[in-house]
Amino acid sequence: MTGEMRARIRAGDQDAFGDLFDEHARAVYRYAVWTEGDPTNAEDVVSLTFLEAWRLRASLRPDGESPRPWLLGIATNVLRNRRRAARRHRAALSRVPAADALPDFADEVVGRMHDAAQLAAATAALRALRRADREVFLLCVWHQLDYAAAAEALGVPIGTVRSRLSRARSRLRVLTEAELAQGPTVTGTASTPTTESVLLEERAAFTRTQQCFSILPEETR
Amino acid sequence: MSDLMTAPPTGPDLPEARLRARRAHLMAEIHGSPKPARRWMLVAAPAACLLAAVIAAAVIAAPWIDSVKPNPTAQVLPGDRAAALVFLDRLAAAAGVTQPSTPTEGRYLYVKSRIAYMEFTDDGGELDELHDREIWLPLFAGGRGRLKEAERPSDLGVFTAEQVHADLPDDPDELLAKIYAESAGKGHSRDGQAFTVIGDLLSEAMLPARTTAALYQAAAKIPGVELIADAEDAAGRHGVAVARVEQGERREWIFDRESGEYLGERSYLVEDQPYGKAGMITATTAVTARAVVGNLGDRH
Repeated sequence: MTGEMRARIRAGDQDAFGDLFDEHARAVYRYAVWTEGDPTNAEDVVSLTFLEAWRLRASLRPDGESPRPWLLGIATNVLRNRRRAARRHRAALSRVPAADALPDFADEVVGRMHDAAQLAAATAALRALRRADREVFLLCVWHQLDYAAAAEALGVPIGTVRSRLSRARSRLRVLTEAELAQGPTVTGTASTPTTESVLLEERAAFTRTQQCFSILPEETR
Repeated sequence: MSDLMTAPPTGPDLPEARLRARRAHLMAEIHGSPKPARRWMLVAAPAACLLAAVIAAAVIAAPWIDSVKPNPTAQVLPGDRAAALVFLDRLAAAAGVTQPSTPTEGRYLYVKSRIAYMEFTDDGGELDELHDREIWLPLFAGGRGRLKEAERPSDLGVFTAEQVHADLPDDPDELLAKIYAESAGKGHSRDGQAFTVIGDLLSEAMLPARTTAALYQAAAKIPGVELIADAEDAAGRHGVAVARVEQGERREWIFDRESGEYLGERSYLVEDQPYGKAGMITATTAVTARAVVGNLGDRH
């Protein structure tokens, strides 16, 4: 992104905002789903994030590379307090076209069932993290921002990003090990009156988590 | 299966049709946005607008209804075009006298204000909480700017020589022409945007005295600019206002009646609108501190 593009965004150029949306709306959507572990409100989070970005456009730094860290920082605040953002833009949200007025996309959803299962398992584990640690993990690992960009997005020092990411990874490792330790109990002789269906469900959840997080590399950055 | 500890999962993706719908919605919203584009050249942040003193007064007067914030209102006084020209001329003449030149190398302009926004909703508008806004603008090329609003700091990045020493003509006609050119395509109208731009420069910028004088003279040339005999800023200070109406909303720059010092801004409806009645205040600000400081973060 050029400085000129940043200047246009800061100046309230509407075409520049259209371009910004085209380039980053999908990332904001994914961030919302990953954070909440649920796509229900994610579309509104996208709208709220860009409405907030419009309102706060002058806070975009005049120099720098991609504006994505700035946008994800705004999305972080929207996600932390979605109700407040929704209240602020209540009128605007009321004008969003109803979903049923749009083409049916059920087929697309079905095609993603496998991804959805994997994602659900992963986001469930992530929800066991502190919110601040989860934010850093999502920005650094899944959004692949570098430390400086994540620090910019979250408005915290780089050292804080580093320590939160380290804590997030350790915690995920512990969670996974706990699952591993728990595994034999679930799959061993049924000393408790667990029904077969529950057993299968637990085992499936265990397997998914193991698949997501069992290979735990050392710090890669 | 990919390892989610080191790489992002695939998806989920927002279906294309939904993405297009959300994009169209965004574009429609920002196109009709009642908030003016409030960034131009030296001004590093969106305008602040507010309602503080009025709300505080309302809550004190009627503490039992604090869960339902009443919309504060302003008395809609008539504007006087001729008086505005006289007053702006006086401000222009005083600009050179009241602004001593200060060494700026390695220094920052610090401005603190109390601000609040009114967000427009179908119910007629809702007030943001009154909060502080602090901004540090480098007065030298290569310095970093900082904005702190509602306790959330943001780095405004490194300022270029162009941003620090805006190349503004001292001739009011040339200055206005430049502002019109820069404002093309922004705001509701050319004149409304020019009024916004000048207001932003008055509130958060440090300009040479000659440029400040030219800004006042340029403002006098904008059609629709008028003087309002009495206005109150977000800190409860009364002054006289230079104002302009745009789409049923009057925006005021409030000045001390005697000294001509800039106090703050106020906006309110002058005609009934779908979102509120005439007199409803939509913005109020008050500059509470302004200084040239030696370090980013210094307040005096």
